Amino acid sequence: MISSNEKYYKNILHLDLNEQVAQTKIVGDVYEYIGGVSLAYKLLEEYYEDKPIIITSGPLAGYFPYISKSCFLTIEDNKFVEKYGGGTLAAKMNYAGLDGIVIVGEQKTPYIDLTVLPDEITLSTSEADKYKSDLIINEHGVYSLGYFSFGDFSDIKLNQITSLSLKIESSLSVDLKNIYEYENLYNSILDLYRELTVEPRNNPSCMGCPMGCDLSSLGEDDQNIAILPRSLISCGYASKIYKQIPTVFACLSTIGYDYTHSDLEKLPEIFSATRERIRGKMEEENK
Amino acid sequence: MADKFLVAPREHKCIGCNLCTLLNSVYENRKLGIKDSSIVIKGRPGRYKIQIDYGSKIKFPEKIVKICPQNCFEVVQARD
Repeated sequence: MISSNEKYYKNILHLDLNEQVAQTKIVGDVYEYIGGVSLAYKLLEEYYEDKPIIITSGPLAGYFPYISKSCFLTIEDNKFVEKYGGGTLAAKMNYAGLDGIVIVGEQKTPYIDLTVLPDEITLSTSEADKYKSDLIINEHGVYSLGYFSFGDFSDIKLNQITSLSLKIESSLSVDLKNIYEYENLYNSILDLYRELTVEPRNNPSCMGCPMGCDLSSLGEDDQNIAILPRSLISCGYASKIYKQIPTVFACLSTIGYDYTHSDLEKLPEIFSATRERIRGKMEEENK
Repeated sequence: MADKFLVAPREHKCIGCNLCTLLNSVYENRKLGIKDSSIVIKGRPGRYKIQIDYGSKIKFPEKIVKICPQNCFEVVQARD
């Protein structure tokens, strides 16, 4: 079970590229944002002055099928850059107890390679093997394992980063309160593969997703997907399953979160309010 | 009764979904996460390797066979 102390705050990995310092930090008063895109915008608001790059996972990543994406968010040229990518990043962040990554500053060395271990975070300035990196950001774009893209970055500059890679080798285990409840729920969602808008294939698959679809390597560019699935973060092609509040409530409850139906229903509203506040700050800056 | 073992004769079909890794931990350890799983997926997209730890007994190998979307696994029985 998620411990009663742990579940009311979010854990982030804060990377300061100017100082070349990486550390985990606790962020309070963000529990209602759940994760994914909602948490990403809230972290963007919290760290707005630092012009951050935000990457978030969601509380169900790697625990339930078709929940396999991370959210990438930043502001460039006065516009939100919101992208989604698969691979191993979302699940490994969740297994390591990391809800988000906040990157600030400007990279001063050609390479930065971060490794998150159980008891420490190491930072080196050597080039990493992109096929072993859960996250890599470089001039070609944003990837996981050098294969799973976060979408089209051809018109995005990301000038603050030259080459940044991240490996997560820390993994926690969460006690299951009721294994039968979890197994039944897991299998019932797995059986809903016909609700997905992609076909099962044999391609490399995002961690936690059995589909191996033809689109797994492409990433998702801010499609018109509902806020609830994007806060978990469901693959966009499985959003029909995770738009259902009773399903999401059951999933969160089974693994120990105590979000209510009301918390899930008001999520779009608090997300919109947060995004509007950020837009207000952007407009103020441009006056 | 002869012991049953999980093997991966079709490892080359692995797509790296890690359903086996997660659910092995759930069934054997009653824990969520991959930390103490007896199955580890290594390699890179398109060239995954399935590593099974035979030092720990997998009590529900049939469930792992069933969960794999690519049919990578089989259950074999040791000869008496």
